[in-house]
Amino acid sequence: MTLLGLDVGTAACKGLLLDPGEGITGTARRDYPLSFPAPGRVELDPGLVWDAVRDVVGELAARAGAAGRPVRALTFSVSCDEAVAVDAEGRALGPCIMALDTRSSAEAERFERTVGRRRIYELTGLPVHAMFPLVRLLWLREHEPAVFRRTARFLAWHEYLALRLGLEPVGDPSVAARTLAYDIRARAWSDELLAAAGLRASLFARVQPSGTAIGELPAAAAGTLGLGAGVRLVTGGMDQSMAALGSGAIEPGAAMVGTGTWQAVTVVAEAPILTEAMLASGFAFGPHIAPDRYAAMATNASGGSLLRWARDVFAPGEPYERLLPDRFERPTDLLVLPHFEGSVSPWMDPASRGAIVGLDLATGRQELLQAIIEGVTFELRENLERMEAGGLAIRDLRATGGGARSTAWLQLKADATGRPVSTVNIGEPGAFAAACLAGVGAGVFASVAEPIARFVRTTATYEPRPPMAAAYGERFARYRRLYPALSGLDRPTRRGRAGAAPPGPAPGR
Amino acid sequence: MASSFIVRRLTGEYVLDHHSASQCDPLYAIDEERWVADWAAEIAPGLELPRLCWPAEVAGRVSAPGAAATGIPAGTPVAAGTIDAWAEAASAGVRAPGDTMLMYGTTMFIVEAVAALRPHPAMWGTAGIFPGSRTLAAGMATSGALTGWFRSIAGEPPYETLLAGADGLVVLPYFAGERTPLFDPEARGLVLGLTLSHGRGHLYRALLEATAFGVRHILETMAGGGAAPSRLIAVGGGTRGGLWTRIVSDVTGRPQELPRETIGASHGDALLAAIAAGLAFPETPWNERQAIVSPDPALAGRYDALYDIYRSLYPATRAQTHALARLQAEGATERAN
Repeated sequence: MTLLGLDVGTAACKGLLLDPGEGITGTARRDYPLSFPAPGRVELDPGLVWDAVRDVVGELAARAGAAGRPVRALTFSVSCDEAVAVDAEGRALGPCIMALDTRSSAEAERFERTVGRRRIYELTGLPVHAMFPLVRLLWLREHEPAVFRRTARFLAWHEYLALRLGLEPVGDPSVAARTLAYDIRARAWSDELLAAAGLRASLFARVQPSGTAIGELPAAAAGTLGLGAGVRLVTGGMDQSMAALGSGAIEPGAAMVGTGTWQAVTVVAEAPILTEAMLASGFAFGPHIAPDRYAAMATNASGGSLLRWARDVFAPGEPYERLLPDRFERPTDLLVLPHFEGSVSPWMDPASRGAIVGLDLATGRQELLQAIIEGVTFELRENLERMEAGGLAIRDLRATGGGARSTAWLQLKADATGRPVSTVNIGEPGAFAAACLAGVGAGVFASVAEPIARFVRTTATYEPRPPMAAAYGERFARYRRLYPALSGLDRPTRRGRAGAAPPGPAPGR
Repeated sequence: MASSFIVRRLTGEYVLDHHSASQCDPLYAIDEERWVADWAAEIAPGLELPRLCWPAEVAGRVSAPGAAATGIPAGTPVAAGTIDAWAEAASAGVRAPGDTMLMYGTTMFIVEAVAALRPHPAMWGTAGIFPGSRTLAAGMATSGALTGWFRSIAGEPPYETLLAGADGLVVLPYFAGERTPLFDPEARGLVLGLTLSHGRGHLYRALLEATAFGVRHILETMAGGGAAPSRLIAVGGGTRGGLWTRIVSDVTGRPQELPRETIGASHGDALLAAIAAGLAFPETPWNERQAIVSPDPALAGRYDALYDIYRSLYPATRAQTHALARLQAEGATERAN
């Protein structure tokens, strides 16, 4: 008997087989392309996601079957902040508007003015943003009224997939908490917010705790996926919390930093801390996957994307392994503000831009790459320190994602944050956590803590090296003053200056 | 100084030109065009001060040993000569007040003829080439050096040079500190405005634009000191290719003349020698104008906005860059030990 976990991301569906006794026995992956139909617009065809899920499940089901250990249950880790509009018959009403799409900024601002930024935060744990499904519905109502009228449900990926599999689209608290319509402490849809938005609760899915069995797959759906009879579909969870769980972050104080294209940190908490200071830094709170826990989340709009940029500009085609040493042996004397795509947490300034400070004629390529990683890591440290200052305990930091494959980057995380950083033996923690939840829903595990304790192991711990940590402490103090110093300077100003042309067209100039 | 040394070897005369002497602060009294002998006695006791003459005056004649060493006939008159940038300014045609040479080299050097000197904390005021003349000079610590640096980390050209303004990048060119008008050895380079869409071409263009902003800063400082440059003449290796001079004209909003002869200081030395020998006068046309680079008025608004940002960046980041410069110095010491 095998458990199947699926991780539905923005670029690919990854699947993982977990044998409750032996551990991970197989993985598979299918990619799908985003489309960019106009500036600021980012969409994904739900049909492509379904096809990828079908192929990944099909491949893994065949392998599990061949090994004589057929799949018993499955569920999903899903990229949140995205929803698919479906009609009364359950058909998708067009492409899914993805989290990076900026089309609904005006609706976000209007909703924020109506309810109040602070009040929304107290209820939902979220700083208002254009990407949340409630705001997308307001946009649809305003700009695509025909689609809005036909929208019966507005479903997150795992809910939409449940519907495609012939079952009720049941959601879970961690994903519901990313709609901007869910009261995270009451763990229920918020009447207050729905009333303010003028939306009916039935647009959203019924919510059950992560790891709850929704039902057995109907024969037709099971057949399409190459699964046998009696396979249970179980409620899943949001990708970031799932990855944290899958890397072992289950107890309060445990934290996971995922370094992919962007870098995000998730901290397990006893309770949400919905203060003005936490809101100002853009920290989001929501239910964690493990029962009775919360997750605090901070996202940097930078990470591997910057390393790739530097590689493509300065050393096109070079593999990262050749560009990065095993360890960095001294800090650079540069400061990099890694806001190449603006800032989310903690500065909350989408118009901020990247900067490199301290260049001299001896600055080399390797130093630039290291300085970029330092900048990305200082942003992480800024988030961790602000979270702690706001009252969150952070005791244990685990690193996952592509950035955790570089020993130099891992050691730099420890040196530049001044805290130990560990790696774990789970390569795909989101899909792994999904497989664990599938086991809970199938009754194989008593709780999700059981497989986490059984399978997740720390593989290495990087301790801060005292001289490096001291040097980075000094640099970090300067780094924190960089954004305030540069903030606003890169935007056009109208302040007067001797010799400047007057505003408006002037003859001959 | 080099010219003085060579003149001595050729002629046996111990001579220094007024321009070079005027760089020997505080030993030279520029208002009276003479050595300050009592200060000299204090600073360099016992040092004999060279006789002063103007760069295009005969300092002496080739001696027998000078002739033996060089093959130049004994008795040939030798002009005093001067420092290379000023000889080049003479070649380029810097004569009337407001005439300004922009020398595009590893660094950017600027020499302007002025009617009279007013003390200016951010510029170098000196005697000029011709008797009684005065110049104001300014220099950036890098300029062409930046393109060399860029090649070393980004690979060899060609680079795309893209739109004016490099899609919203601004660079501070202080990669080796800055000379005029900041006089700050701890200033450092900075790139601001980076996004994932910026590539090699953007960075290269932004580096060239940074040197142009530096030139604009210097020209404005000169104007602010009451000596507005009125005619710009561009010389040096960096004028080849045309892109860099075009950017400087677009950023400053000023046309630049390009002289036909670009071999540099030696061409100016020939003029000094011709004048000393009575074969030419300062007014003698010495270098024809070959072309004019004109600013594109359509770019003025964009460059004005970027220049505003450029000017605000240095004061906003001075504290951080000074700290980094000191860390760099400490690091260099550690690595050396």
